[in-house]
Parts: sequence; structure tokens; C-alpha cells
Amino acid sequence: MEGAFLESNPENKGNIKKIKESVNRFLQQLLEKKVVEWVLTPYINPENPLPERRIITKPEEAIKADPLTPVIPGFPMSTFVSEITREKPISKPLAVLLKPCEAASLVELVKFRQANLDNLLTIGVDCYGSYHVLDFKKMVEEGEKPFERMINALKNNKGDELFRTACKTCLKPVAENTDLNVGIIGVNNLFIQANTSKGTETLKKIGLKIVENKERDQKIKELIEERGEKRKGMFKEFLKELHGLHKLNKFFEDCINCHNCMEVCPICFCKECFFESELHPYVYEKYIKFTIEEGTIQELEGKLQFHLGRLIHMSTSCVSCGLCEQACPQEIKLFKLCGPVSENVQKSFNYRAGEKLEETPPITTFYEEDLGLTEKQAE
Amino acid sequence: MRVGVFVCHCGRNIAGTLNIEKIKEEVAKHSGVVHVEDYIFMCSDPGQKLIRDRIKEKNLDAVVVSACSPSLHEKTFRNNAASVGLNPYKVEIANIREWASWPHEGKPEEATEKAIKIIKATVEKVKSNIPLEPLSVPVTRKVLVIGGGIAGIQASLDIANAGLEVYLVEKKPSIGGKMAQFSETFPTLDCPQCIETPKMTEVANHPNIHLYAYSEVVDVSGFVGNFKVKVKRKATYVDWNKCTGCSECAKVCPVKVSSEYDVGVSQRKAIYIMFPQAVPNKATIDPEHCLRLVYGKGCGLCAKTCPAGAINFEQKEKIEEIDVGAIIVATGFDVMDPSLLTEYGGGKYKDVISALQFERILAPSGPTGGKVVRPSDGKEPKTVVFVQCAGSRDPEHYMPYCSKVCCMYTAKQALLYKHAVPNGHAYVFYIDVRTDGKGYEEFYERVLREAEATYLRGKVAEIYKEDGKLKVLGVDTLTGKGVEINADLVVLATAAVPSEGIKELAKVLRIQTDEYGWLKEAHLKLRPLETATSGIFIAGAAQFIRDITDTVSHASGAAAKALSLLSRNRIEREPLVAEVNEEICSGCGNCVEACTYQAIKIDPETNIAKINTALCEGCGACQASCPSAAIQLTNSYKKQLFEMISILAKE
Amino acid sequence: MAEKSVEEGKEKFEPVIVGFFCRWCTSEAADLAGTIRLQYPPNIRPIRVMCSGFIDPIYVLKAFLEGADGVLIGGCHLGECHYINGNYKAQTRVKVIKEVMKSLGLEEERLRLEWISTSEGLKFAEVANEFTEQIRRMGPNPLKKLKRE
Ligand code: SF4
Ligand code: SF4
Ligand code: SF4
Ligand code: FES
Repeated sequence: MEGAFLESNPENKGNIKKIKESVNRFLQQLLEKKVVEWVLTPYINPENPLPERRIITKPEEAIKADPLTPVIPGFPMSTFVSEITREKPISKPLAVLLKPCEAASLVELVKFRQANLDNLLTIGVDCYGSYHVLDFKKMVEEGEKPFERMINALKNNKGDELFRTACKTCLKPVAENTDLNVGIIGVNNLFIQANTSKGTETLKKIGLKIVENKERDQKIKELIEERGEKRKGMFKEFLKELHGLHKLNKFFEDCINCHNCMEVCPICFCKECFFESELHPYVYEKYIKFTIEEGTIQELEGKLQFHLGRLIHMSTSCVSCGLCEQACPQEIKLFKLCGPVSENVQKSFNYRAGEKLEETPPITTFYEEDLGLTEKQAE
Repeated sequence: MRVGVFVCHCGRNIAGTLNIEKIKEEVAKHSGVVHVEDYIFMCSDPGQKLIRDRIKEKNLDAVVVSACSPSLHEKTFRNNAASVGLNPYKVEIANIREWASWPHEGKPEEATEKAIKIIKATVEKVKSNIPLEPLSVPVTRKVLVIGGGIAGIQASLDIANAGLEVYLVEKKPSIGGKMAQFSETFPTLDCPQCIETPKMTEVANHPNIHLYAYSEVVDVSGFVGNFKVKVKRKATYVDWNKCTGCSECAKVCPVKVSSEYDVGVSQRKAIYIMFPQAVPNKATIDPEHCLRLVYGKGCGLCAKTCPAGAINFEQKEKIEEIDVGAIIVATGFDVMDPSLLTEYGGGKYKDVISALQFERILAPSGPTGGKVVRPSDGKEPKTVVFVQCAGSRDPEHYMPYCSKVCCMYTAKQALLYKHAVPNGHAYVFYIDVRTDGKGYEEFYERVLREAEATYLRGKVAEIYKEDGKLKVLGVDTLTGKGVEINADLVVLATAAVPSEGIKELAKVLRIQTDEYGWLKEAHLKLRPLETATSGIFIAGAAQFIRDITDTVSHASGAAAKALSLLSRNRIEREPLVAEVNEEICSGCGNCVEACTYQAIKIDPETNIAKINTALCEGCGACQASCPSAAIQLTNSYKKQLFEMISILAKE
Repeated sequence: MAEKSVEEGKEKFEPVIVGFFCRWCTSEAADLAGTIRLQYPPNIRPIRVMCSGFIDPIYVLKAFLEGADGVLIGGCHLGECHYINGNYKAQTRVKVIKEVMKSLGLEEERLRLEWISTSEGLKFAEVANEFTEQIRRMGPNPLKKLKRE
């Protein structure tokens, strides 16, 4: 890969802990040099331990940007991008900072015409792992610094038990399909990686020297391989825990059908969720009627319909961000379900969500071949 | 909602198995059902009147007729209801005959239970049906006929004579088809050239017929009344506007190629006119053999000779688009390649030939001038063995079906042979002799008398060569004895098979073929001229092998079908099309990808899916792909499906 | 209920199978099977749909959640869909459902896709027989047990 080291401040050199400042200076320069007019980024909120998302327009505001913060507060950034660009492309050049899973979901959203990349400068930020919002909050409240904890874990290459499950098994620590990447993995010094000509142009405009960086490639590869092994093992376990209807039902025992998991899911872009449409209240009445007839009132089918139905709708494009799990008020470990199931579904179609913009999702791809489904199945 | 359910006994067909009383009792309890009544034959006049009366008396706003398959009487019952003012789309059929009483005769209780479920589910469906009016669309009053054999010729002439324009597309350089290759035809022994050629000329001169010879249909879009067809006009490398058909070119062309028209019995040139009576009578260059076209330079003798200056080596194929309202497929048949029949030495011995080749040898105007000679040495064969059912009625090895025409033409060939070689002798191996046509049995009797042929009932086991003679080993199953004949010539009545390329054409046309490739009719008995795709008809042997008499009748039938379809300026279409709920649509475009007919676009202004109803075929693929039920199919609403499923899935 | 008979003191299991049949082929094949009086078990409860490409995976899910022990989808042979390629779309959708079911140990064999053309009345009856037997062997939809618990 090619890119540039941010060496503008000599005292930061070799000090990964100072990278926050380097990134902010980089953002500042983007605005100063008018590469973009707006920057959409996580931002320090003095009132709240959790960062917020904000569009900054003035170079001096960049000091408080916090794109590397190891948390995704609620909705993924891709959802905001979708909201801003869905109706029509954004009017002024905007840089957006995305964690790799957010970048991946943005790709899927573009495929479903829910986001428009025109006038956007997409900047991925390397993600070694992020914390559950509540863990993050607790840490901050107790005076621990989640960012430093993450950076230390990265330096020691140890991982962190507290990372979200999705992050522990994540195979995309570095964003794909973005113009630029803010690289912290496999480097001692902040590295801005350029993936597109637009990215390279940007670096040149800021006056950075473009270099090759093979070492980082290698390190990333190693990390992904290591994670891959781990993921395999964990996914196998997860599916074992969920094997069969009884276990699945048990898994959702505490689900209150609040649909928060769907709300935060970047792939669930529908204006109205099918499972919340008028078809369903109506069906619910029936359920109640039937269940009364059967002597128990439980909304087993409703819950399973929602979760399995949702899985059918989104598994082909799920990007493994695990935000559903984080959103669940009942602490249901949803990633155990959607992670491995989506992986299986996508593998069977030889597709990986968020990987290639040009590739169409299995559900809209027309496979003019016999998929062999009618062959006699072994019983 | 006031639903009336009418339960038909269909004589004993339904009532003999199902418990009608139980059905009535159960269905009456279903919500929305206000009236249930049974009758012995609902489709009869009194049955229909009963339904009409009840609709009025009971003020019904929906009706379920529980009877036979909707493909039989749905229309009848809908029209009936419409005559008393109930919208036809508020009538649904619950199929309790084909789907319940007939297949479960031995299990009356379970069958009754199943019928009740089917009826209740249908009641749920009809409750949410909305009243609809048929969509009326203008039609193009022109017809495409594919295939220029006798079927295509007949159909084209019938339609053209009725005043409609016809496009006749033939893939060979000339029309005429198989019939033009025959010697004389059974049972009357008239020469096909004498009876077919005038029709061919009529086609060529008819003001309403556009003849596209040496052309192929490559794409069809649209729907009944409004098909858009792409025709590939292959390059002939001869300007047909200039060519006078003088054949001077063929005389000088140095390349000889086995003649398709004479089935290899003679040779043609690389530039050729298929046969002397060809229509259009124009020369064509075969690009695979023409030296100039193969090597890109040199030769060009024809161009130097052609007095009309018609040769054009630069000619390119062209795609022409035509609009038609109906299509008739008259692609005929082929005969099985004798070399597939290895046990008979087909393809191995020159003197084992197909009956079609023998037709050419017998033809008075054929390559041998009507002299019967054998291919290997040009000598007159004194002993000829005819093998019937070569490749037919043989499910283990070849075609399981009877090729239908072989008995008759074999008899005819034996007779013509006898006329040509009075001192020769013909043996005919047969399984059965089938003479099922007007004058056929009489003709066969005549052959037995006049041709003095020996008919041997049995199959030929093997044919091999010994001492320059063809040894035919067989069994006479009537005497049980083995037979061995030394033959000079063996004629195989090879099976008729669907014409080459028909499966690809069927795909282009969106029509179905059976496992062999014969075109599938909409209903074998009642709709043998129609395909399942409305507006596309079949004429002649493309559906299944038939003789000339039947082919001509079938073709006229297909023409009549097309004419009646196009007798009006507008036709009515089912209004069952997709609709978008703009409130819900997120513009994701899944439906756009799912629609094969390109009926959906995302409006760039609103980012919402928009349907072009004229293009929508009502398949519902879009609604299955929409994640949020924003697009649905009229009267197959998700709500209806859900209700039906919920009834049927319950124990 | 009629479907249940007492056998050795315990209820014999009669599967409930929901069929989604394309109106251009499998529905017609079922008609044909009836017309020529082929006998097959009455466990399949058919819904006539426009095309196999009409079948929203949610319908299949719905059928299972309403208690169906099996779901049979019947469409035209590949290349023979009346709407050209609806059956290819059906294939993709069925594959998604099956992969989800398989991953979760939800007995994907309870869902079957078959291509049965108009003329294949015999195949229809055979499939009906065979699939009913298969589901009978597999036992009831586990949901039913779950609900009784
Ligand atoms: S967020 Fe949790 S509780 Fe809410 S619907 Fe999803 S799984 Fe159920
Ligand atoms: S029903 Fe939908 S997919 Fe089918 S033709 Fe109409 S718009 Fe296209
Ligand atoms: S699939 Fe549904 S939501 Fe998507 S564009 Fe079509 S109608 Fe709209
Ligand atoms: S029409 Fe039968 S599967 Fe499409």
C-alpha cells in the first residue's frame, strides 16, 4: 500500500499515543486547505463520557474531533451518511470518518441506493477493537482512559477481553473501499493510507510525501489471520449454543420485541420494517386468539418471526458490526446469531458484504445457473 | 363481508369421496361466510342460475366456488357472477376435485378435511380481493410465422388472405420445408412439387406477406398483442434485389459440398440455390465453404460470372425489429440421423440410408432423375429392406414414441420402388402397421398387392456386411423364426425428432417444450394449437409429428386462432399487476433487479419505485424481493398469503 | 381430528405440509395427478401462486411458524418459467432460507424445492409421497412441542 506518515510534529514521531493529535491536525489541514468543507466525525462531548457525531466546518474545531475513539455510540456512522445523502448527493465536499465496519455497511447502503458517495471523501480509521457503550462509559466515569487501554492492547498485540465480541472476531481491522485510511495498526507512527486516486490527490494537496509501506500490509495480514482462527472457533461455539429451535427460543427468552436491534442495524434501511407493518399487528391479534385457544399467551412466533425474518432479510449483507448486540436492552448476545449465520449465508454465495462496490448482493444478483437445491438431500 | 360458498358435487366425482355435509357445516362457521350451498353440477345452467340467484337474494359480495380446477371453469364462474353485477375478481375457485377428492379416493375423511382447509383459505383470499376491471391494450394486427414449411406457408396464406400482414421467417434460404423434399405423397401419390410449389409462389407474391428467408428469430419481448421481435437476417453475400436466380454462379463455383436438400445424396456448390423451385429463387453463399470467405481473398469466380453483379462478399448480417400481435411457431421436425443407429450400420455403410434420403432417390426430379440406384456404386438395388420404427418405439435406446408417418411412407416407398424396379423385391420389417387416416388402409392394401412386398413382423437385430452384401438379421415374430436377408440397400424409417434449435427458440419465445423438444400445447385435448404463453400458437409438426393432411389442418387452425385474437383493435388483459406503496418504498431497487420485464424504475426525483403497468406481467417477483412489502401484487396481497398460510399450516 | 388415529396408545403423527405451487406448472401437474387418479397422501395443502419467483421467503417462514411440518415449493423446470426466470430467483431465495435454517440447526430438509412441469403428474405424486414420508420420519415441527411445554 501507499500513503504518508504524518510527521508534521516531530515530537510525535514514534509516539503512538500522540496519534490523536496527529489525526486532528490532519483533519484541520483538510479544512484549512479546503480539500473539504465539512468533516463528519466522532467528537468529544464535554457533557457526556460518550462521544457524539458532529459535522465540523472550522479548522479550529478539529482539536476536539475524536475519530479513533474505541466505541460506536449507538448508530453507525454509515446510517448518518445515508440520512444525509439518500435523497440527493451532498452539496459540499464532506469528509467522513468511518470505522471499518461502518465503511463496509456504507458500501452495502450504496448498493441499495440508500447512500450516495458523490462529493464524499471517505476516511476509514483503523480499529483494533471497540468497547460496548456501557463499558466505555463506566471506564470513563471510573477515570480509566479507554483509548489508551485500546492502544496499549494494540502495542502489546494482546487484544482485550473487554472488546465487543464482534470486534474480537473482526476480520476487517482496516477499512476497505475508503479513499483514505487512518492507519494505527502495524505502524509506529500515524500513517495515512491512500486507496484511491482521490485519496492520493488529497495527500498531495496537503503536501505529504507518498511512500510505500509493506510492513503495515504484513502486520495487518497477520492480525487478520490470527483473528480468523479465533473467529472460526468462536463462531462454531456460538452456533452450537443456538442449535435447534429450543435453544434459539431460549436465546430469545428475554427479548421484549423492542426492535432496537433492527433500529441500529445499518442494513435494516427500510422506511418501514416489514415486521412492523400493518400485516403484523393484525397477525398478532390472531396469535393472541390462537394462543388463548391453546391455553397460553405467548408471542413465541412473533419473536421468532421478527428475528428469523430479519436474518433472512439482512444476513446476505450483514457486515458483522455487532451493533445489534450493543443496542439490546436485554443484553441478548445477538452477534452470536447474526455473525456466524450471515457468514455462512454469504459464504454460500461466495459474497462478502462491504467488500466490493461493484458486486451486487446475493439477493439482487441473478444467478443463471442451477444452484443444485433440488438434488436429493441426504436424510 | 358477505361471502357465499358453493360446493359442487361434480356428480360423484367430488361427492363420491368428500363428505359434503361436513364441508358445509365447517365452512359455514368460518367468519365472513353467510351462505353455503351445494349442488350436483355447479357448472351446469341450473347450477349457474343458483349462484346468480343467491348473489342477489343474499346480497353476496364475494363468492367461492368449491369445484374443479380453476384452469377449467374459473372464467365461467366469474362471467356468471359478473352477469348479476358482482365483480368477477370477487369470485375464487377452491379446487376440491383435482386436489382433494380425486387423489385421495381411499381416504374420505382426510380428503374432506383437506378440502375444508382449501375452501377456508380461499374464503380468506376472496375476502381481501379488490374488484378490478380488465386492462385494455391496443394490439398490433400483424402476425409472425416462424418456419416456412407447409405449415408455415398455409398459416401465412390464411392470415394474409384474411387481410392481415404476415412476417414469415425461414432459417433456410428457401421455404418449402420437408414437404419439398418428398417424392410422391401417400395415399394419393401426387407430387408435392405440383401441390406445394404453387403455394410457395403465392407466398412470394402475396402483398400481405413479408418473406424473410435465411433469417432467424433471436429475441422476443412484450406480450400478447404487442410483441417486439428481433429477426436476424443472415448474410447471403448475394444482393437478393439484384439476383435473378440464373444459377450461373453455381456453375463456376469450384467448391462442392454435400447437399442438405438432397440429404447428402448429391452435392451442391458453395454458392447455391437450394432447389430449382426454391422461393425466393435466389443464390446464397455458404460462408463455411466459400474459398473467398474462408481465406478472405482469392477465388471470387462467382462475382466475376454473375451477370447481375449481385455478389457482395462484404455483406453483413442485419437485425431487424418487427412488431406483431401474435406469433405462430411452425418449425416442423427433423429426422434422426441414421448414424446414431449403429446396430443397423447407419453412418458406416453407404447403402444403409434414411427414408428421407430414399425420398430424394425416388423423386422424379431428384439427383438421380428418379432412377433408383444405391449410393455406394450407383447400381440398381434388386433387394431392398425397409426397417420401420428405426429409433422409434424404443424407450430403452431411442425415442419411446411412435413417429406416426413411417408406416405409410414406407408402404409408399415400397410401391414406388416396385414401379421403378419391377424385378426388384422389397422386404419390410415392422412392429405394427398403423394406417389411421382417410384412404390409408386402402392404400396399404394396394401396396401389399401391387408392390408384392414381403412384410415381416419383427425387429431387425443387426445389419452387417459380408461378401459385399448387407446381411440383415431379424426375427419374424409371427413364425418365431430367424430371418436373414442379403440386401442391396437398406432404408431406415428413422424416428422423427423435433427440429434442430427448437429448444433455444422456445427459450426466446418463453414457451415450453416437452422432454424431447416437441412444443408444449396449453392443453393436449382442448387447446392443442396454443402454447401456455398467450398470443403464441403452434402449427404443424412442431407440436408433434403429423402427416401433410393433418399439418395443413393444424396450420389453418393456428391461423384461425391468431385471426380471432387479432380481430379486434384492443384486447383485454388481466389487471393483476404490481402496485407500489409510496409511503413505504425506500427506493432500494431490489424490485427493479427482480423484474424481468423492466417494468419498474426508480423515479430519480422521488427515489421511489414506479411501475409501468403496460409492461408488468404480474409475476410477483418484485413483491418477493421487497424487504418492506412496499410493492405488492394486486389480489395476491401479502395479507392474503399470510391468512391462507395460517389456515393451511394449522393441524 | 381426522388426521389423528390412535395407534399403540399414542397419536400417530400426520404431517402438515404447505405447498406453494406455481400456477403454470406444479399446480397443473397436481391437477393432472388428480385427473388420472394417482393417489398420494392428503398431507400437502396447496396454495396456487403466480410463479415460484412469487414466493417471498417470509411466506415460508410464516408457514413454519404457524406450525407446518414441511414446506414444498413447486416451480417450472429451469429455463421453462413462464416468466422466463422466476424460478432462478426462487432458487436464490430458497438458498438463503436454507442456509439460515441449516446454520441454526432448524432442519432445512423440511423445506423442499422441486421443479415439476405441467405434464409431470406422476412426478408430482411421487414427490408428494416421498416428501410426506420424509417429514413423517422427521417428526413434528419442533415448534409445536415448544408451545406445549
Ligand atoms: S434489541 Fe434485544 S430485546 Fe429488542 S428486539 Fe432486539 S433482541 Fe429483542
Ligand atoms: S409483477 Fe413485478 S416483477 Fe413481475 S412483471 Fe410486474 S413489476 Fe415486474
Ligand atoms: S423493493 Fe420495495 S422498497 Fe425497494 S424499491 Fe422496490 S418497492 Fe421500494
Ligand atoms: S412460472 Fe412456474 S416457476 Fe415461474
